[in-house]
Amino acid sequence: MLENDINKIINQRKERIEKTINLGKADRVPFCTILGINAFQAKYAGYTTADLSNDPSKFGLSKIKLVKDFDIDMPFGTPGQNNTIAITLGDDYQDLIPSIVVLTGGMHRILQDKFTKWPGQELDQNSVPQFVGKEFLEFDEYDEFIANPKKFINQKIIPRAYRSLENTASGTAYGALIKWGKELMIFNSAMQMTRTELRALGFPQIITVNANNPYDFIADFVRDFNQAILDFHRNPEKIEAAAEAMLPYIMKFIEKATSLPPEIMAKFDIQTPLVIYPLHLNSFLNRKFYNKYYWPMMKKLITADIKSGRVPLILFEGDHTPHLETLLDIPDGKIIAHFERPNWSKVAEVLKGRQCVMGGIPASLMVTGTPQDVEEKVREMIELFDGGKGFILSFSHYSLPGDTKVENMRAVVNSLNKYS
Amino acid sequence: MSSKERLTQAIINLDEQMVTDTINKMIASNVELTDIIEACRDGMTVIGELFEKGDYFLSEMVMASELLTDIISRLKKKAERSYISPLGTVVIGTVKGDIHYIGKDIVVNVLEANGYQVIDLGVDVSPEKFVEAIITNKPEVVGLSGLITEAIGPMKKTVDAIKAAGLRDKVKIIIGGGIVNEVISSYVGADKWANNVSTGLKEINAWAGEKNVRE
Repeated sequence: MLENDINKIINQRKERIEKTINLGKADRVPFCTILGINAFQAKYAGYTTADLSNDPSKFGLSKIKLVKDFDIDMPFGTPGQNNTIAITLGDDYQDLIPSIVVLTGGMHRILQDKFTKWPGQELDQNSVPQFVGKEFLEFDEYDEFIANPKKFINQKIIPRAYRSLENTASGTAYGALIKWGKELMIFNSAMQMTRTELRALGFPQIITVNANNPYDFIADFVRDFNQAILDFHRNPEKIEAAAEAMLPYIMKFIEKATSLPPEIMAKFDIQTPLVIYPLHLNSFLNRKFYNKYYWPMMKKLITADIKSGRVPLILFEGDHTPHLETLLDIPDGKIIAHFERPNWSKVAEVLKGRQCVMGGIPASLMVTGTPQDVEEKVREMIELFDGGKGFILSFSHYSLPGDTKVENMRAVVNSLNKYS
Repeated sequence: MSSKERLTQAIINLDEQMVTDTINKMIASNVELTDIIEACRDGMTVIGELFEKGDYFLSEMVMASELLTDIISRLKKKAERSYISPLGTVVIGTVKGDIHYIGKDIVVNVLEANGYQVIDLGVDVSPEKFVEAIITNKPEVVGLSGLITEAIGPMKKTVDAIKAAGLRDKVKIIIGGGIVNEVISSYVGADKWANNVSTGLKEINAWAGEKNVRE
């Protein structure tokens, strides 16, 4: 393809994305996927999920194939998240941000973290990597953590969370860190090649960073998910103070990850950075916990993003319907809200014309449905949002099952072109 | 208010201190253990209703499950093994390839506190293990749990394996988890589905009711 043609296609997609985020109706509803290591992508490219987990170039190649064949305007997702170590290390070595936050099967093998399980290691070759979490901070240690979270994470949590770093003053630990660095370089260069290739195929590149609500950071990487929920019931002031203590580190990480030097910025087609927040506790928390603790914290992050010209892409896990109205606190047209399994008519009722909404296709439909079912679903969603105004089509979950039918994937794209 | 009613109310209010105090008194005064089980059952019924109404959220289910775990462990200590003749036996597990346990554990606790004998196979459970557990424990109900979309395939494989072993008509199969719905249930070949503990319990209670009438 000629350079001019490529730029034309890139600009067309870029406009499509930007117009939709600004609540307008684009030439077509954008198609976005947020997929980590998923079985469909692996199978479709002729690999196992273990291949994708262990070999960054296979992860990149399978992603290119998926994006190209199914015309995905916004393909996001990394294999896994290594936030525990990234957040404090990034505070000391800011030039390592954001690359250190990724976790792959290869890195898991080296660092031996206890919070994830991977295909080809603890799980079957064709399973998907999964987050398990663990209690790395006992209730009695909260005060020590709150007084100095960075010190506590470095000295207590890291040795507890990574088997290879159990004794930091050891050859095992030093060696693991060197190997981890090498693996990070391999991953980053594979991703750079993937980006270059995708750009050459006409897919615009967007600056993204993954970040957490501090409450999710505490629940997932520090305290254990179940324990964190019990803390909300028993001692909310402790988890609140811990989350407050983490907030500056998370904000700094986001700021640094999105303030790139001009020569790097020039490589991206869309200059507005997207901050991707995968929420975890949101749908678990009752109205009181959500409104008093979780949402105000989320609002602080969103406000900082808006002020710095970033767009938060918030992934509301589970059924977020009961908390939808809180989103009206945010100025219109400033975020992208992805929903997993909400009451969609309620979402449209509350958010249509207020915020850009993303989602719509249950990943399970890709397995159980026919192409006609998929087409009907796409049509229904586009209609719900007045022909696709401020609406981005995406899957409900971050993983597409291996049993996903190829003809259903084709039906998604064909219906998008047909109905929007 | 009787101590049984007080326990029920403490469970509904998720009042941990009150639950502990009441159960301690009940055990010390040798209250019938069936009363304690009934108090749990009544409490969970109301909690289920509050959940369905949208007054209680998953955070309340996690807390209720914590309270029930504590009560059950005290009962087991008190009565050693079989503290009550079970309403029925349920074999449960998270299917192969999925290692999520929070939802399954809540269901296990709620079923136990409702008087069921539960055989918990854990997570990442293969179809063969389910079949083996059905042969060994002869349950009335088999519960397949899954949170990730990748669990749909293994759920179907598990039901197929149960069919292939000639056990399908011996058990009722319910699938549970955030992802499941009517379409997935019929694709998998399950009898029922539930995406929250309260619905799951109702379905299982209905089967137990049928069984007891038959007997």
